[in-house]
Amino acid sequence: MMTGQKKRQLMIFTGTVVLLVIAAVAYLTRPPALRPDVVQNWSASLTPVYGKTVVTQTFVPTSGALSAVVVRSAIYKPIKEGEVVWRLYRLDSDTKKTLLAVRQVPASTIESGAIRDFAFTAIPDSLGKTFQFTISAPELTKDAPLAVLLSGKMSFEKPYPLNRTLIAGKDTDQDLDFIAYSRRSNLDVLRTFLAGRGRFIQVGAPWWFGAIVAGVAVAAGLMLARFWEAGAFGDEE
Amino acid sequence: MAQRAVLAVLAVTLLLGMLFATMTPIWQTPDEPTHTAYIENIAYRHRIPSASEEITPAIYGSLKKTGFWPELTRSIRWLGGRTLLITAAGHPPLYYLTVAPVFWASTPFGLNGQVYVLRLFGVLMALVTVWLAYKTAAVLFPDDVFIQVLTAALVGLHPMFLFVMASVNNDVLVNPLFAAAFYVLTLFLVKGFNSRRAIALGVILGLGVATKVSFVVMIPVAFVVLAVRAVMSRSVKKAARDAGLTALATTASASWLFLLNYRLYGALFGNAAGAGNSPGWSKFISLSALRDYFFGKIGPQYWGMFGWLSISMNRHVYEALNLFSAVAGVGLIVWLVRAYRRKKLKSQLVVSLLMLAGTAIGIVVAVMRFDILTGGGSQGRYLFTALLPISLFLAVGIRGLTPDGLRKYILPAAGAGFLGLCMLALFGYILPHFYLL
Repeated sequence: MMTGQKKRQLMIFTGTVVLLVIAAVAYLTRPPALRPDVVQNWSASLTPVYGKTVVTQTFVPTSGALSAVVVRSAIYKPIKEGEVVWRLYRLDSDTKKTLLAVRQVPASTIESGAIRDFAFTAIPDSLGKTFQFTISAPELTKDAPLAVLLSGKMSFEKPYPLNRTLIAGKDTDQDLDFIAYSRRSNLDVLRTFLAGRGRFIQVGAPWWFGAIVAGVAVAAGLMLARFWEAGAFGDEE
Repeated sequence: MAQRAVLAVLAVTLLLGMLFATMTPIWQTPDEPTHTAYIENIAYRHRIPSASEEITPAIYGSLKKTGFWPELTRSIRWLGGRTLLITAAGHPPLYYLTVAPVFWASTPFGLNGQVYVLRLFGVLMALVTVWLAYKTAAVLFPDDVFIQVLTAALVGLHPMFLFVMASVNNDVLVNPLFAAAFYVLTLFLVKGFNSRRAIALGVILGLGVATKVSFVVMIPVAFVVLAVRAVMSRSVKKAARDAGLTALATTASASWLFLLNYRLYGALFGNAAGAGNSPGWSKFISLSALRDYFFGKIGPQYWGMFGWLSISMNRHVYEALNLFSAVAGVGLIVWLVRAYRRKKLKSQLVVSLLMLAGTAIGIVVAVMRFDILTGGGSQGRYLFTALLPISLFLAVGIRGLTPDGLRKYILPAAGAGFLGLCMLALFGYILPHFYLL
């Protein structure tokens, strides 16, 4: 016959395990969230953008559902008029590109070092495709231009070898300071972790990971039941 | 009763530690490559490297293959170049000598597997720390199961502590040694002298100094404790004998280190680092500077800032933990007042609590001093040497605010809260940060 205390402990144990399972299901089925994809935020220098100058950044998302691009810009002195135009293209071939989104931002709203995000409808098949965004400010002048921050390529390794940056049509050895975001679900993240790709500890792979997680759930249930027992100690006296 | 609950804490700590070890990519814990290079030198070349040497080719190759630099520069400004030096070689060698045979024996698993095995060694050391925290609380509060269990839980379910212990770093040995020193010193103050304890204390001091220089802070503490206990028990002769035994055991257990230092550097105490240009204590002179340091830097790093301090949690998480600490601080005062009124504050307990509080404050000051000397180089994890007293005081504080009838609810709630924090750190921050691409 089970005592009242034992019953309560069994309830806490079962409740904890069930709650953890529910939390796991909720975690894995959560709607995809914006997560950094291509990250090139190593600000090193500035370049002015005005008149006919167009800055072009090419990049290849490393995960699906490209959803936003964030760039860092600056101003040398306050700008009263004019707009900054941001365009996103998909490069279909060397000669053909498709315009996917356009954003126009009043230049007067830009502050030095400010981060500006350009969000758009998620592009579900973006994985591995080449995209390009451009920044221009045709109404601005040399006296009061916009400045975009360039991200210095590390001397030892370039994280994204397919990136390419053009300033007024000329190749540079730097990238723009930008981050491209994709919408990824927790399930996608977990899949990436379990896939490994050689840079992880990777001992035993999925079954090992699953066994430890299951062990945590059981041990946590046991622990909280014991905590209840320890907390109740002396109550009868 | 308490022991069964603490055994369950140990099981959870072990499994959570394994998750931290498994889910954190190789080399993505602070200084892991340089600590591993130190171990590799001992394991395969049977020599202690110097701090001006570059990391070994095998580790360099793995860093390159696993995208170490791109990963790091995604979130922090990496000021070093492609070359990494074995900067860990400035540390005393005990940790590296201890794990070198493990590293060597796990050679068939490859470098990834070897690092994983070393991380698991750290997780085992976390279990030792949890157990010592529980034992210390049990010596001080033998009738209070709540404090004993909560102290163990606050150590074993601490997300940043688990992250650090599940890494290759000499912190994984020095943290349990600090806990062991606190435990033996508490035994001294509460239960009195005995030769075995004196020798154990000496050995712990010797091993601690041979693991990390920060451990020297415990040497004056130990001898002050011996002196205080001598005054309390009025047996100066016995105290002098025990102090002698402790000193002898310390010297004996650390003598090899002094000889090694002499051989390597021509000085018994090794190559002490000099102070750089720094603004001195004036850096901390204002309240706002202290607030920025404790709540803006060290506090968040203490509770959880993962990777190479690049993965912060949401600021509300830190605010909640600060609130928890503040509530516990109020509770501690309540508990002390109540215990004083009920005449439960025996002299041994008071002196032990003063020793723990004084040492913890000393460690905080030492970490601040390190920040000054290195121009901002201190990290929250350095406070884990004082994790035992900090957790104990937090537990006493929570006990002070918990009516007897609510203990059975508060204890599981606190356990669930910290377990949830660890899960949040693992699945909400570490996993999405590292496994996106």
